[in-house]
Amino acid sequence: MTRGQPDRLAGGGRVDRSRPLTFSFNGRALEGFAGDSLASAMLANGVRLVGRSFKYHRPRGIVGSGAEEPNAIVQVGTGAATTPNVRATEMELHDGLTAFTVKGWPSLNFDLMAATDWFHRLFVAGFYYKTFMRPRALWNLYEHFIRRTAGLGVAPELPDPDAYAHFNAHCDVLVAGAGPAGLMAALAAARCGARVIVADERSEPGGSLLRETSSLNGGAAFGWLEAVLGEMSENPDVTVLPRSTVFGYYDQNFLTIVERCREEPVQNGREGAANLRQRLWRVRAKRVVLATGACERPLVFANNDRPGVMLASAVSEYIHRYAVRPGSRAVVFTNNDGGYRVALDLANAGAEARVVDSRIDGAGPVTDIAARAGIEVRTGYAVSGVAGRLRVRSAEIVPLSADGGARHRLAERVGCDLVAMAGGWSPVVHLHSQAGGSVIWDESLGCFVPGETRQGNISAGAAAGNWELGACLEEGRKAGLDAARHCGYGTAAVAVPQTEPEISNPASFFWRTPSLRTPERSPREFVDYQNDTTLSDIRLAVREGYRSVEHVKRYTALGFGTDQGKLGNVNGFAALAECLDVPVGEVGTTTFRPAYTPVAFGACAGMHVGDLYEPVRKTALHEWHEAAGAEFEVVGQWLRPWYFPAPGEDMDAAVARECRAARESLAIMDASTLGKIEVRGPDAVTFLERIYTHRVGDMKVGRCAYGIMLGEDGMVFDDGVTARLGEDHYYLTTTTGGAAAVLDWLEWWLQTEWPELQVYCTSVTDRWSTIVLAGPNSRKVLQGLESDIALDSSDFPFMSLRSGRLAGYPVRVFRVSFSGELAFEVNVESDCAMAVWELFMEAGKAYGITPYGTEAMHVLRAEKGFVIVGQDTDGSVNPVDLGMNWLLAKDRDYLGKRSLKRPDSRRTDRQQWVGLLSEDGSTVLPEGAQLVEEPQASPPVPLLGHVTSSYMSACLGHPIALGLVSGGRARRGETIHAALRDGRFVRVKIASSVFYDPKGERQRV
Amino acid sequence: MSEPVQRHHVLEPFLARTEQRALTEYGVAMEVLPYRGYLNLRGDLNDGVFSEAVREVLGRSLPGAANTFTEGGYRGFWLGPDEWLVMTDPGLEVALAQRLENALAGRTCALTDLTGGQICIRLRGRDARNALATGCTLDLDSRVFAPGQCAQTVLGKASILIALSVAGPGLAVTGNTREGKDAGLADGAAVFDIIVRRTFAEYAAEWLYRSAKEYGIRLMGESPGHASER
Repeated sequence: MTRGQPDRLAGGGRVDRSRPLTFSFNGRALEGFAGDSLASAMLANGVRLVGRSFKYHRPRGIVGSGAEEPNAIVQVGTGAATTPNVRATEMELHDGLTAFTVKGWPSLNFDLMAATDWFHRLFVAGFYYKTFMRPRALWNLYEHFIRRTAGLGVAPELPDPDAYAHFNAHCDVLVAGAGPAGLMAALAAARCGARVIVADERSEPGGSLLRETSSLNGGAAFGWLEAVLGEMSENPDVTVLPRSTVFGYYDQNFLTIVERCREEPVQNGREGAANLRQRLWRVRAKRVVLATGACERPLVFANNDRPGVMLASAVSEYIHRYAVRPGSRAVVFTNNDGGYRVALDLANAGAEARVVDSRIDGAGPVTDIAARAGIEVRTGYAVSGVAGRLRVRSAEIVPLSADGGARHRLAERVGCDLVAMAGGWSPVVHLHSQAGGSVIWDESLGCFVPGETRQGNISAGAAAGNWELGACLEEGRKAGLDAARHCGYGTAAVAVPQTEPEISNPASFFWRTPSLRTPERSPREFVDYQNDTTLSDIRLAVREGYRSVEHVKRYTALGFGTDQGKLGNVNGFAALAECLDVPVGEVGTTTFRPAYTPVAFGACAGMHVGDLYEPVRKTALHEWHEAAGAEFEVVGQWLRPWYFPAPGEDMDAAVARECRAARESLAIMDASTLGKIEVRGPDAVTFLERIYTHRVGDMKVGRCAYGIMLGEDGMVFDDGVTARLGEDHYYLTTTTGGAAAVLDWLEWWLQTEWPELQVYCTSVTDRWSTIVLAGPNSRKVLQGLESDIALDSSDFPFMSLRSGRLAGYPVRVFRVSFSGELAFEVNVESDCAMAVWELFMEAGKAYGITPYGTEAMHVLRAEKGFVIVGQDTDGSVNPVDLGMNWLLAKDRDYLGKRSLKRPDSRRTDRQQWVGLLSEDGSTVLPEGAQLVEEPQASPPVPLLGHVTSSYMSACLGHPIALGLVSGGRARRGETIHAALRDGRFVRVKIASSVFYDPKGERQRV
Repeated sequence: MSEPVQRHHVLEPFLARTEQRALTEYGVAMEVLPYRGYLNLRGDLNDGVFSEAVREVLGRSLPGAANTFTEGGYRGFWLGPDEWLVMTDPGLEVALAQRLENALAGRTCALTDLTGGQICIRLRGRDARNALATGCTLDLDSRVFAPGQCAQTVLGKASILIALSVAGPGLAVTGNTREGKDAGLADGAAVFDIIVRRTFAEYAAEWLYRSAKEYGIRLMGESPGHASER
């Protein structure tokens, strides 16, 4: 015995006694060893009470030793790195680990909420649903109470300091589970030459070999284990993943694994993928071997949830793997031979053990071995209940009669501090079922086993209902060879290690001890520990009319929670079958869904967080803008300069200054984010005339035009400039946000509807950066640079383009204007954009060149009444609404044309795009403001439309706005009202959408 | 006489802020290739005039097999049944484009100069595949993705073109030092070229760099820095 660890055995186990670790549980400092799980370390320290139950706040102890654990659910760590829902059985101990129970107030030992236990008849199955119903008004009261008392942990409130990543893996054979069958399968497949991944949820491979005393090839199983793992570690085509749970099995043999790389809290913050906490493997496997083992079933009897009632296999695992003795006086309640081995393990560990076997005939040869070890065996007996509240003190055992009843009058009470339940085994069929496979009840084995498979997978070993070690190894070998063969590999010699012969009596499907009183009147008999579902809850559900297992699950919460019914489900199904008086197989199972065990959101997110959450696209001039102190605006994935405040300047002042520069002298803007597409081929004109509404083909080479695209519904979908570079060569610009959608749109029509058209579309958005020079002095700047492009208006008129060189740089210059001023859009290869921008800044100094951002651009275009698709339109606005009838070709068809003839498209009261001026001359209308005729009208007040764009115009000296107004164009000059955010209304006059230079003379000079 | 043309590499800011420790033990070597020429070519290889003209100008045929590329002089990457990306040494793209335009005059095809819009990041080392596996869903194992193959795929949320070649005299990569051999860079080792659109290059570089940190990553090669040419 180790000081401070009263229940630690002096020798044995796979813990490293030379490496003590300190940890704390509910603030109490404790010590364990490297190799411990949190659960084994707690047991070693004599901790039996680990939590309170979900609904009744009953004291609970550790039941299992792995993923099935329903009770020992703890909160680990504090602050940002705190993790809820941690199964203490799966948490490897590390130095400094702090764990807390998630329930129990004011303390775990004295929980006031345990009062719910006294009133359990109020909190029966479905009580939660019933609180919704009557009386309805009380739900608000209940809700607060229920939400506080339920729940299994606290989500961290700070950003996760840990790093996570994904790993996309591909293999021939994925083996889930590294127990005897899984390791044989992996070994066999690997010897055939296959690429193998074998994943196991435990911290070390071995599965049941870690908890049993079986010998292989006449020696310790650990020797064989090490040899196999050694061979696989030397094979570069094999990946062995311990601490890795295969938690999802999806279509096309796509599986997900969460690998717990590190349990200790992070030291160095989020450092990319270095020092990962968890890694999510996304595996595409040709074949899958499911060697997920089996989970032992608890038995149902009165107060079977008291701390100290455990799974028998878990008891063995604590003894063999962790050298921890969970009790000193044990009752092993079994329905199969396995319980005897656990009793022997206990006896060998110095505990007093007694076997209570529900089978009248008892066990096979193992009975004699047990007897020789001084173990008292009662066959044809059952445990009918236990006493003790915070820990088991005694068990009541009763003889069973031949008809299956219990003779309670003959009950005896035996003192004990541990009741080990060996209720038979349930194959872990979760992944098989997730993959679409059926699950069938095997009457002889008394469990659900995998039936047909739907994907390239096979179950082997205990996962297929095979309990005997030698048979599991052989089945694993065959599954591995078979999987490799399916992947096109030849066979290989693989020897199955020799096992000891096992002779056992058949198990009986005995799942509950008949109670003295009806379940409703007897002490609680738990079916599902985590959800506090009792036998009487299931009976109640049936009485209330539920028949389907899926309905009963939802009504009683059977199989919910973090353990997803790993322990409780089969007994719950058996209880339902009993109530309905049908075989268990007829009840069937509920659906198994991913995830097998809870997965942290961090692992799901992987590296897709922070600055890698989404690509941030920056223009080639971004560093210049940053240095100039620009404020940025997010536009789709892009970052665009919003405005460039001078020191001490606010946004309004900066935007006003930028607008004035464009109107009065010279301003410069980065328009590189515009989508750019080249369209080339003999059918380019035909194609574009179907896509655009305007007459693309009439345009001469070297000219540009404004164009819009409509969806098939006739609504405006995108707009931009179309330029003709050659007879069959066009260049289109799209909106910043619409670039990808437009290219998809073009390709979709070309590839699916008009494959006969000989046209190629290529995105050149990244190739070209676009610098806009706007203002009366823009031409002078260009004229000051060496160029082969003639810039006079006669040589280079408005709405045309020229290619050439500017200061040595190859450029395409477009004389288009989105500001209404004389403007040149200079396209230059992106690598050279910075150099050209700096040339312009230098050359423009004489004219007070002013960089402007998207906000000034919006003001300038609004003064001119230029639409922004996506701001002034919302997918329900057609070109007629926008007043763009002049853009609609009359003599030919184009996408969306037919929809413009629908009666709804021709309604005269459609919302039309108009200018709006607040009559007070000072109120800047909020964008989105609703427009009404008469605010005093009695509700419902008809809505005329809304404001789509609104700015203060420095050049005009008053605010301007654009908006959609029902029948608006015919109402020019009339007054309507706009609703302000504070509830007031302002009078608004409907005006022309063009506020500045209505004849467009300034841009043509 | 003009001033020299000044180029700025899009990954200069990334390289400037990324620590470039002279690691001697690393599993991944990352190199940002300086400026290269990129031409996108669309056309029909079954059109004998087209394929012959292209072969004449490029000195070899464009690959007809899906997801492969040809090397030697220019690199020609198969992007689709009628689409290729031609990668040239710096400065050759303009003249090459002109020769192709002349040779293909009158044919149904489209040549588009994408230079400046594409970036190439080179990844090598024994853990290069592992670093890529964090964000690339393709199976890059050598028995599935062999030298001479290329594919359009994703890295995280960025679209990339990935191509595998082999280190050796033909590729201007160094790795035959003792240290390079330890890292898996010697002749015969895998060289992944990741071609990504300019505005996704920073995202892709960051992604790769952080993915590779687990294995130790060393930035190699000259900083692409400013380049100028007459």
